[in-house]
Amino acid sequence: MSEASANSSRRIQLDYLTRVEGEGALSIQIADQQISQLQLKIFEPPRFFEGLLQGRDYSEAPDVTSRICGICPFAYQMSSIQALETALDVDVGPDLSALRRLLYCGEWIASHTLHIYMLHGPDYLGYANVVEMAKAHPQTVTKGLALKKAGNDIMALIGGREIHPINARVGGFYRLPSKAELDGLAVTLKEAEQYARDTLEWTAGLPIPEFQQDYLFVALRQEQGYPMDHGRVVSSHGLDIPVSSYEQYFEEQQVPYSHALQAVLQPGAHCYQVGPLARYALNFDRLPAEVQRAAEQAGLSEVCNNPFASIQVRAVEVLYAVIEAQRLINVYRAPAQAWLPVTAKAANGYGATEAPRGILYHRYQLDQQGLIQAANIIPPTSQNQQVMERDIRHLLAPVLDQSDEVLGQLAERSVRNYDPCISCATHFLKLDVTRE
Amino acid sequence: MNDGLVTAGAGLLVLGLGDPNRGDDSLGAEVVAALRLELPIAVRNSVLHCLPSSLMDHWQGADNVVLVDAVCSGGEPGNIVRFDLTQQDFPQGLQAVSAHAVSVVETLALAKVLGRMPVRLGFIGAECQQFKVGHPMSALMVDAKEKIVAELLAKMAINHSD
Repeated sequence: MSEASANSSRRIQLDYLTRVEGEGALSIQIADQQISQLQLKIFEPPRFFEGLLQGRDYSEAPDVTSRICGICPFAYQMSSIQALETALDVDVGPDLSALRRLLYCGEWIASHTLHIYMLHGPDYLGYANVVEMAKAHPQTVTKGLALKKAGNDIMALIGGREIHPINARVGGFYRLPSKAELDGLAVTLKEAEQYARDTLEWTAGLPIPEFQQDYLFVALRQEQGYPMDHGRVVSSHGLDIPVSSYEQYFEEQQVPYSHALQAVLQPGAHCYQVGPLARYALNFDRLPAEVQRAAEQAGLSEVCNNPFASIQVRAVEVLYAVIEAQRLINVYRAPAQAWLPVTAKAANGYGATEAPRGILYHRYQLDQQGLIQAANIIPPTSQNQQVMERDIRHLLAPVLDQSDEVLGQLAERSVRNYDPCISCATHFLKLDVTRE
Repeated sequence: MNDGLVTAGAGLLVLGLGDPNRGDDSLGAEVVAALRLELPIAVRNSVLHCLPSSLMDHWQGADNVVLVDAVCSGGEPGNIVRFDLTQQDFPQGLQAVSAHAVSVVETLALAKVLGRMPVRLGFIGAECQQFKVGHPMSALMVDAKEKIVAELLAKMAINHSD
């Protein structure tokens, strides 16, 4: 794991990051008690989804892109559907939109809860993994699994199945749920609400390391409600743009050591953060009063600049999603039809939604037949790569005299603060095809 | 080798694991898809493709469960392996292929700690050759899949005729 030389340089190599989605590694080089090089390496095979979409019918994009991730597949479906419906001038109206938001709530609940209990939580209590944590805290883990299942139940009912849902389509859904099915889900969610409150209380009692950072936050912001399925792109430094302008401000850059591109905010190539901390800081006023109170009772202020407290912010968002899902079921009006007819045309479309890990951006260029000519997908993990590296630098700088083992553990914990989905971040090998 | 499947009693629940987009890792998903095509509608929902982290949810209330997944131990590609996970842990040196953080092995350990193991839990899988993104299963894995599907259909026929 470590190499040392006579001039007091050290290299710490974490060959396999644990408890993150996908395969990544971290290399840290220390010289004269300073970090001379730090590289978050993503070496899962590059994925070819953008190239794969070229020449395919627009209607295939939601299901193809949902395969990029098994943890947040609906985020991929929703961002692609939004982009394609924008391109094709489709407005599905409030009832179908509400059903999509309900499905999105399910994904947030399932993904966040998985991270809180099975990946992130053991860090705070000194356990190697969730199995060790469950030996000491079986009831806590059991509640967490029940909460996660409520999210999966939403995915299964509205999405058609919990892994890689298949029910959403451009124009609406293939099948609408029945009133009886939604009533059953409401019962599950009522029980889950207590588990969500318990989860927030549990995270509030965890020992959170003190580590305040100065972040440039970027998130969506909706006219009403907490951002999930649409919104303008805003930042803590005053940016406020439509999704269609995303690529004018956010630029992906290659780094030689990683398969994933890294995004920066232009002008100035600023490192920025997306995800729960950014959503929360930029949208605290959009949370219902009871969720704001619960956050405050958990010790959170309106802006949280400590990445180690992200577990608490995720718990706030789980509580919000459970409450929002119940609200959506209560006001549900069955749409007149499951989907609206869609007419293909040559157009460009842009979409962005809030995946559990942050903004997920899609762009498509269609020809007159609706065949995809070009696609661009920017997932949250590639946007957070630079801030993850910066956090590790700042975290380790004052403790470089510690052992490699201690530094390695701290660095891994720092990466897990972001719940990175490395599988998502590595589909970016740009493919240029010349046909003669 | 005993796979832990007892044919008497309740119906068999088959849970397939693995990423359908990653070469031989799609074994679990492919077996599930093939079984669902063959089985009567009444029992089709007893065959599912899921994430390791959801296994406990799916087998809750089920007595007789079999997991299907690709494995990677350096053995002969396509070689079919069977374990009775009620009687033994996942063999050391052999891991089910998973690109995600919560593995089958970890989920099984968690289920044991929480007392949420099914009464009977079998495993059937095959040694993978490659799990490249976007690639189909290798020919040896396709052969293994067909044998596993035939074996499970036979077991399910016995179980569901009880």
